[in-house]
Amino acid sequence: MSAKQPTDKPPLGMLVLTGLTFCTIAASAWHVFLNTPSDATLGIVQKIFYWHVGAAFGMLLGMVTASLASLLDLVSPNDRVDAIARATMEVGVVFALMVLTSGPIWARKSWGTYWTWEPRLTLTLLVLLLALAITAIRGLAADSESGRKIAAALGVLGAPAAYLIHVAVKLWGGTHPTVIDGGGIRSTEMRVSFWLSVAAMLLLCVTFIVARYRQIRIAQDTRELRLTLSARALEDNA
Amino acid sequence: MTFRKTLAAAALGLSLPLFAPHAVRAEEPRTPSPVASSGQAFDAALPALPSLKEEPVDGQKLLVIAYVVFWALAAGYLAQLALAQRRLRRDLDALQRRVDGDRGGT
Repeated sequence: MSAKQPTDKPPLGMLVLTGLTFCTIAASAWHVFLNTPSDATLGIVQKIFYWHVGAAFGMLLGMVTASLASLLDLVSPNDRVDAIARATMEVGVVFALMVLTSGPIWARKSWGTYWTWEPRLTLTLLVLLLALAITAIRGLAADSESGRKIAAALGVLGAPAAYLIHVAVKLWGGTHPTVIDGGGIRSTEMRVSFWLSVAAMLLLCVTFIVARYRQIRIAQDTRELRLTLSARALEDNA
Repeated sequence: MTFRKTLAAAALGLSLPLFAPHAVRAEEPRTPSPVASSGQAFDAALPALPSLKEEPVDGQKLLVIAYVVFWALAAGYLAQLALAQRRLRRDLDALQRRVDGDRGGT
């Protein structure tokens, strides 16, 4: 049976992607901890910033891709697009959790408090809850057509929500620093660490998405095959 | 299954209004955060929160906690993927046996 092969032997592309991700994470960790000076104001805790922002990029990538795939799935239902929407939303949740745990820990030192109800934080929390709800719907109603449609309709909201998170500080102010747009990183080492960490987190995000997508696709094929076999068995019995 | 769906929907519905008052409060006009010019190189705009720097916080400890939690989440998802993979392999093995059985029967 050909369906068994993909689970036993990962394709070369997947292995290359995983290797590249691992190397970039290692390079990023090396550069952040050994080559980049600590910030004079915030001290060593500022190093949380690099992977925190990288994880935020991963979250936005997951949410926006899930949103586009959900829209496509609503327009013309397709198993491949559904698998993309499902995988990206799930990974988006993981990265949102990374952002919402590393951020408050950094904020404890930087802002003096773990949490404040400022626009960007509140929006990110709401988007995480929305993504959790969508993932729950997909999990509970995996085989139901209506469940899939409801999840896709909610998933479309991911892109506008991600855009609002991005512009929240500009629109409503708040306590989040505008480091990238405001040209806040002046040191070359810090800039290299920053972009290396963003690349590492984006690669990790893509690796997770591809791995989960492959699993969902195989699960979909398995379900189809099981249904075909059941139908054939019924025909034989009749 | 219906009970679980209803429970999940109710939990979600009830949790959202909890955040509404805070979200509205957060939209109230604030004094703009000054872009701090202090610091060696990292120019983060520090907010004027009253408790800032009033009590000493061990930055190194926070850094370690943040990275442990961060990678624990990534490892947790990886473990979930591994579990799903194992379930998938079991399903495929069961299907393989079924197909073999069908072939043997025909």
